[in-house]
Amino acid sequence: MAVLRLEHVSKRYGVGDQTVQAVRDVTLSIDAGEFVAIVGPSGSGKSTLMHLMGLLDVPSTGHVLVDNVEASLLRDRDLARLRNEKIGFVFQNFNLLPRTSAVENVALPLFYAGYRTQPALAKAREALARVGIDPHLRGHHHPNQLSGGQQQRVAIARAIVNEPRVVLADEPTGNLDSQTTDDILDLFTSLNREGTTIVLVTHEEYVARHARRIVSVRDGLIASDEAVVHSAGPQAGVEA
Amino acid sequence: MRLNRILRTAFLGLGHNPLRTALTLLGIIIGVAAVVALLGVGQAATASVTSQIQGLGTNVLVISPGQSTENGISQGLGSSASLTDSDVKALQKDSALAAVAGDVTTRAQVVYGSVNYQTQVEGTTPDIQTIRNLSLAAGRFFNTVEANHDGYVAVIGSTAAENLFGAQSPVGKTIWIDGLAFEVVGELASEGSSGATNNDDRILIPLQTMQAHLLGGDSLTTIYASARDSQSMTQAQLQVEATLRQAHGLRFGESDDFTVTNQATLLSALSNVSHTLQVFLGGIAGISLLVGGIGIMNIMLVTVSERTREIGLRKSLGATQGSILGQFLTESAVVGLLGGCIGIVVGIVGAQGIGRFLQTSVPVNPSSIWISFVVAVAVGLVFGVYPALRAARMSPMNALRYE
Repeated sequence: MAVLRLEHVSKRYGVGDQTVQAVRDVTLSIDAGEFVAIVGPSGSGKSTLMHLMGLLDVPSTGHVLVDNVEASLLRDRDLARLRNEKIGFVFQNFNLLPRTSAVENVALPLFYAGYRTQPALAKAREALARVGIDPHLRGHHHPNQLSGGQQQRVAIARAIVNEPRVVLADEPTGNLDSQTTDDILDLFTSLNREGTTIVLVTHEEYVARHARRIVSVRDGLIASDEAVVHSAGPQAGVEA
Repeated sequence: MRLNRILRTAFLGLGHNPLRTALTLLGIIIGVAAVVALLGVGQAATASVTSQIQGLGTNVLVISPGQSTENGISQGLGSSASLTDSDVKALQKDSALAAVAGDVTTRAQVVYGSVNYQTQVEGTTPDIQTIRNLSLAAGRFFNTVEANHDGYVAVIGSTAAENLFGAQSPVGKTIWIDGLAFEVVGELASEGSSGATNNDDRILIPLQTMQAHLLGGDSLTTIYASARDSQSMTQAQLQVEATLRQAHGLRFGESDDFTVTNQATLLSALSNVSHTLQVFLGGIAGISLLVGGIGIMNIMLVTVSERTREIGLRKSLGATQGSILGQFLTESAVVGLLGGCIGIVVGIVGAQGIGRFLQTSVPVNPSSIWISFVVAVAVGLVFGVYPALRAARMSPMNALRYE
């Protein structure tokens, strides 16, 4: 069953008096439980694609369906609710609130969902434990007291705390060293095994190889869409 | 989002840059403090002048010699000696008047023991006590017999008494006024000072004694008269004018050589002045509050653009336009609220300070506190609306990509 569907989606931007066609008539479907990597060089339209999937941007033409709900018909309030309940975001630069503890950062989507403080914090601690951060040891640390890898784990905990239908990760390892990159990719793999649907946007072949399906984008079009054969584990076929 | 989270978020935002928040607060604090203190000062000024006028007594008409006109040029109030004892006698026959008292004021050297002191000496008659509502702290007022038969008796004001006698009771003591011995028979209750004039720094002696032995002549500085009641003030004033014109032999068309001041007209003139003063002071204070509000708007705009990415993030996590609007409006309202509270305290303290400086009490009106508090919060909200709307309407994608 599709949790995310793009139907004949196009996106044009006006830059000065020129228009840029970032996405051209893309149709794509992502099913529950999938781990999809969207790859492509910078300027290929992969980030725009992710923004459209995450309801952060509206398509010029075409339809975006999240959990079979047509998004283009929704008002701001309902879009916000859809983002809150169905989608979890992970960003390249973590985007944690400064001077705010890890637990409170993770609990933020719950507060927007109307949770009371204590139940929200309890749920946030569970999510932190799931991503390998000890909530009692590090839960009260502020982002600047955490390493890059730990910050990204907190951000992933925030993305999954609402048990969304899909987690969208935009270059989640772009700011991390290679060791930490592996740790974070392993975390995504294990979350996916536990049933979380993941869409990972990256320009690195190495990162994409951890997914089970790779969609490559070029000039706003889908160039290829194929399953990854994991014969000898995710590290197989690494040339580096 | 629940209210406690919204408030927490607002305080977190304000704590982001404490110096900037403090400076923004300062704008509101100064505005609110100015409203509270300046309105208090305006009221104090009004109250002080009002009490001074009411201190004249009840239903009082004040008759001054005056305005002599030379070649059409007014010489100013009291510039000619046109009032005499015979005027008092003529006015005493007036049915509209309850009491009339002549009054001569001079400055004289007063001696008690080794204390030598210059003060205001007023020659008057016992009627002045009822006309001007004088009450005694000790002793008695001089009586008609003393007043009409060269009585060397004096009633002393509280400041003059303190300066001459210190802590001792003045009643029964003998003082020397310009070399003549007077027995102090009474002490006036303090009227309090109003502005530069101190009504307590004076000594009253019988008019006749003063004219016969201290000054000579029969001219008067002032005649005080009281109407029978407040309704007959205007009629009494007309009658006084008619009587004096006749007594002075003024022909039709000649202008008065005296001025009658009516307490009621004084009060109404004053209330006009004090109204203008209040509006003026309120206006100044209001402008500073407005400037404070613009300060809030300025800072909120900076804050919104600095926190664009945070806004994008919050939207991606499920914040609606409403909750972003609420977040920033709460921030600016909290600035207004905090600034209002601190400003009220500063304003009250400032009003007391000004009061101490001017040696009067500066009242702080509860209504001016309420109004300035409400206005401060409203200023925070109104000037916060535009920045908050800008934040709320940002596209989440553009906000997230903002560098």
